[in-house]
Amino acid sequence: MLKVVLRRLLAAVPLVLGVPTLTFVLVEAAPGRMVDVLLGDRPVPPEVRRHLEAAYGLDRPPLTRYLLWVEHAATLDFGWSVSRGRPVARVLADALPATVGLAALALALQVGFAVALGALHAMRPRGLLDRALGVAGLAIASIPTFWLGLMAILLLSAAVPVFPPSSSHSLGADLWPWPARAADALWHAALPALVLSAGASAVLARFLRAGLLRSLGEDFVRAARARGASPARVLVRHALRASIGPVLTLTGLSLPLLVSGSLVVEVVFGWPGMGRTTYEAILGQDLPVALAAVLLSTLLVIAGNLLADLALAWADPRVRADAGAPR
Amino acid sequence: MSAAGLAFRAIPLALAVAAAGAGCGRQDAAPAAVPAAGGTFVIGSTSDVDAWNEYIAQQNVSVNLLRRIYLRLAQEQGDTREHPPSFEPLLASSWSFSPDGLTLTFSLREATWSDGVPLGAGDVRFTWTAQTSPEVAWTGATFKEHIKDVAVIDPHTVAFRFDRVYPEMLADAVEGGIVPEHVFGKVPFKDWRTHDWSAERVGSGPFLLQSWRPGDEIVLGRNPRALPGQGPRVDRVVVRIVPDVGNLETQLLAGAVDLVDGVPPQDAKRLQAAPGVALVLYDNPMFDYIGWNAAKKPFDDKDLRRALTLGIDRQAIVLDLLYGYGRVSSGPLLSSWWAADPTLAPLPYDPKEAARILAAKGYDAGHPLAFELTTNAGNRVREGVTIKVQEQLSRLGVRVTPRTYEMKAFRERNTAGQYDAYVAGWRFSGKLDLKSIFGSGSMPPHGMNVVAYRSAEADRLLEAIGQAADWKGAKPAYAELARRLSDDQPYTFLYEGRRIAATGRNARDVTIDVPSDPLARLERFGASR
Amino acid sequence: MTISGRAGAIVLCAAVAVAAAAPWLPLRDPSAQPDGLVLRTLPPLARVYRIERPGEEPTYANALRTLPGGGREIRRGDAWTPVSLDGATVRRPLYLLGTDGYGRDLLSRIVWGARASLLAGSLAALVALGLGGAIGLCAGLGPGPVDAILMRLTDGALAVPRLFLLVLVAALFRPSLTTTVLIIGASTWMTAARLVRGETISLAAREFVLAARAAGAGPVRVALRHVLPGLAPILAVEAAVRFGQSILLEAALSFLGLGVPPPAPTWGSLIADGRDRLLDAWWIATWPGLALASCVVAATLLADAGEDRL
Repeated sequence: MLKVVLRRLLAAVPLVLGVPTLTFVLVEAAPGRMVDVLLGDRPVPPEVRRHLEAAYGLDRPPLTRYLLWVEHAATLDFGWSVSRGRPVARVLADALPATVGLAALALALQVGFAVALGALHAMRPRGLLDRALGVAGLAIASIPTFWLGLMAILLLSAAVPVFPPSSSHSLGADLWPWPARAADALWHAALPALVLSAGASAVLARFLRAGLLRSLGEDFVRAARARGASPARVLVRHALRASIGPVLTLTGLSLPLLVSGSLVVEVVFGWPGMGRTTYEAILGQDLPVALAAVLLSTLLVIAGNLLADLALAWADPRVRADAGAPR
Repeated sequence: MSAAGLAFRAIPLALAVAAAGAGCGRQDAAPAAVPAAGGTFVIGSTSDVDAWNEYIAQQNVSVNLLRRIYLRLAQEQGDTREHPPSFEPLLASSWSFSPDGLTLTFSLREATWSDGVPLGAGDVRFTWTAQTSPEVAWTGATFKEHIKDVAVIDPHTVAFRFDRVYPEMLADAVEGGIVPEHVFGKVPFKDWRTHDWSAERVGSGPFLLQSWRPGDEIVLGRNPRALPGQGPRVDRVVVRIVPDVGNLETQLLAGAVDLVDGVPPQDAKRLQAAPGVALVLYDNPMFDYIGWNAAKKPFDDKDLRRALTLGIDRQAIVLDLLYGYGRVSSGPLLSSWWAADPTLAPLPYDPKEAARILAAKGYDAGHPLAFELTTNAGNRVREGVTIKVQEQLSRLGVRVTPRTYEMKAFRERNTAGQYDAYVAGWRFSGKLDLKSIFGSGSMPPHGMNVVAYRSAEADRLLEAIGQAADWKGAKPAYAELARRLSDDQPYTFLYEGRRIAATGRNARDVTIDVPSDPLARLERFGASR
Repeated sequence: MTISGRAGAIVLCAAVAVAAAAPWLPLRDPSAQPDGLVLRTLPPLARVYRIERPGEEPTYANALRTLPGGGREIRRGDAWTPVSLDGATVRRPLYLLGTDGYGRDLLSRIVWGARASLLAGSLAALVALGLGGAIGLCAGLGPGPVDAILMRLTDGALAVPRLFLLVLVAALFRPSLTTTVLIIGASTWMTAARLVRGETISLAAREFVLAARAAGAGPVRVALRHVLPGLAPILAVEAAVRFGQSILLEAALSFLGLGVPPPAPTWGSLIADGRDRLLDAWWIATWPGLALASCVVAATLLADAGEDRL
């Protein structure tokens, strides 16, 4: 197990180095200079311009800046965020929990929905429900996330105000006792998490359906059935457990999508997470933030994939059986 | 002053707009009962504070809030229709000019910083050194270019020495909030741009920064040591940051937000119809225009520029894009400003005359006039202008290709002269520095005469305006210059907009009477929450 | 082919046909806005009045009424004005899907938008397939180390949160149809590379390829003449998937203000246009959203059907 983890981590090294390098090159190749944006059209003495460039370290040649960036990044110093007026590391540290929280909730919803829907699918394969769910799932997976988000706000916040349309907490929630705060946070996160998870749930459910149908035909499930277990029990206890492995793998693979999707969802819902921070930073030409955010989101995905692998090893009875664990 | 004013702060204007009646915004729904003091007032904002230091910040929201924390010597008023704006005492109780007019002396009030340290002339001088420090690189430093020295006479008296006499001396002197030397002075100027100013919370205004969740929420609390009469009515002002204005409107309708400034014109009517919601309208101190590249054929021909203006239905643009919240401008002088000449009318919409001129210049269906009209991506109204102009001029056989560029690239192309025509705007702040826009010596990189306008007559008038010792002396030259520009059409002047703020059902007594400083009366705002 | 696959094919063919035929269809000019005041944000199925007089520009009105005294008034926007209808023809044009905020006909904008969107989608899919196919082919046929490096690259690219990079690139470089297609294509080639590599390896072990090699065919010739034709089916399936995903990505970029720039409408930019108006004019974003979603569904159905047949 430890060997797998180590090999995985080693394989991630070129990626962790390559992604920021690529980003850096892209930023350098782009037209325009950051200081121009800061100065606007105001005519300023060249001296002021020089000081501004020096203050943000822009007066050095690109290669030097790249090497300095790598050197500092190793100590978690990602430079200065012009659009937020604080160190990049602080900006991202502030935004990270919001994104991880949202993504975790979305992930939970996604797996929950997928399992429930997959089970409904498999109850009566090729039946009416199965087909209807298939079409609905396909349609939801084909809708652009932002449109789904806008419609969700329109219906569930504006027309029927069930959920708040934006923000991550209620006014003055800081002063509440923690259970109220937690409930408040969940209430605010519900709609964005739902939208974020919708597309992936549909895909996962389809996948799970195939897995369930396969395992329902397998020996150990038939044996359970022969022992007189109820259909629901067979489905949940035996077939579902057997197909949870591929679901976990797929969930791991869907992480990049989740992180990408969070960018759009956070913009739509005004969620104070990394996606929105990055988007605003990019639009405001706050490139140190963009650089660090691309790196951080890549790291998040790698970590997520690793977790998915570990979970896979833990969950799938066959993998565990292979590993010699008691059943 | 910033072209295309996307994210650039409005530096409080000395020459702003708004006056009694039309220019002045006031929430019209009168509350049933006078609410008790206290409570929380919630402002919705689409952007966050970018730096908790006025001399580093770029965003309007930053400056608007920082002005409530760090007071100026005097508060500019919105009475600009008859004369340049007047000033009300704030940190200074009074001021006077020396007989030669070159020295302006302020007497300071008895005031203390929120940590109990007395506020004195030393802080004023320190602030001036920061404002003019090239290391701080304040983008508004030009306000101070004629101030040679700031001298501490005694702890409560400070003298500004100027190198010449000109109309906006007081405005230039009071520009910028006074910052505490004992706190800000601990950070060397060279480190100002990379210092986290949210940690410094010693202020002099009615409010202090209480907490900040970047990208999410700002909480301002009351300053217990505020100047007498400056204490706020509410206990807390919360700024909720949501990038999507539609989302903010939903919260406004639900009563969760009390004030949204900068409502898109198309939403105004719908919001106004909602129970409890009221609109507060005020003049936006800016105008939008089309700049023609006079360094390039055929736009070097003023008759052709005139024809294009005649062929653009600016009234339709105001009605369709601004939903009537604005007016067609006749020139660079805002109609609500004392220097404007009310007898100067905008060029009419006259497609027949435009067609005649174009035909006389040899353009026809076989040889149509074709050009690219650019603007900065992300500004919906200006994108709309390019689309409307394309459509309107196509009726005259002119082929316009609308194109949007990302801000940085847009600026770069313009200053390099790589364009035919562009849509942008000027936001007036501090001084109306027409010389740097239309002076023949102000072409990039020396100034912002991006359209390469060159007129000896205009240069003469600009010189006369610059030399005038007071505003009364400058007024005739302004009027003459406006006529010159109207004849030459270096720009097609499009419109000056009205800014729309909306208040929710819990808001009380929201007044916006200084367009450059919409939250100037924040301490008097109330909320039934 | 399954019914759903057939349905998908029909929808896609219809979309392509309509897009291709747009200049000859009896549609309004997608950028015409003869009278913004009257025509803006008309709901679906709305009719307006168009008063035509010989030799004059037509006048548009939202409503027409006869006063008790016999005079006529038209309403343009909110204001009523008296009008004389002598010698005028009054028509009542229909706006089937309504209009946008500038008074442009949504139906014709969606049809014309289909051209840009479908073009962008298919070109981006082509770029992804070309890039992914080439990498997959090289990996499948190349020596071990090449294979290892290329597949490491592919795995790495899969782990990068695509939208972050896309947004960065789109913001740094001016978006146009070409750059949009290129950056979408360049960020979505990975699945194609994996599929092609797997298929290539299995094909390379087949007798006819081995025979060709034995007969002295060079690696390039083997790749192009013998392996590539065998890849056609999976490439076709992947093309359908990529096509659907590409138009989705284009829409996301447009929504973030970084897609194909105006005035050429794409479905993405049409939805983005309607974003600000969702609360009072739901139809602006909804129709292009539906058009987009149905094409993506159709492409997915087609891909599924193709996959079943493989």
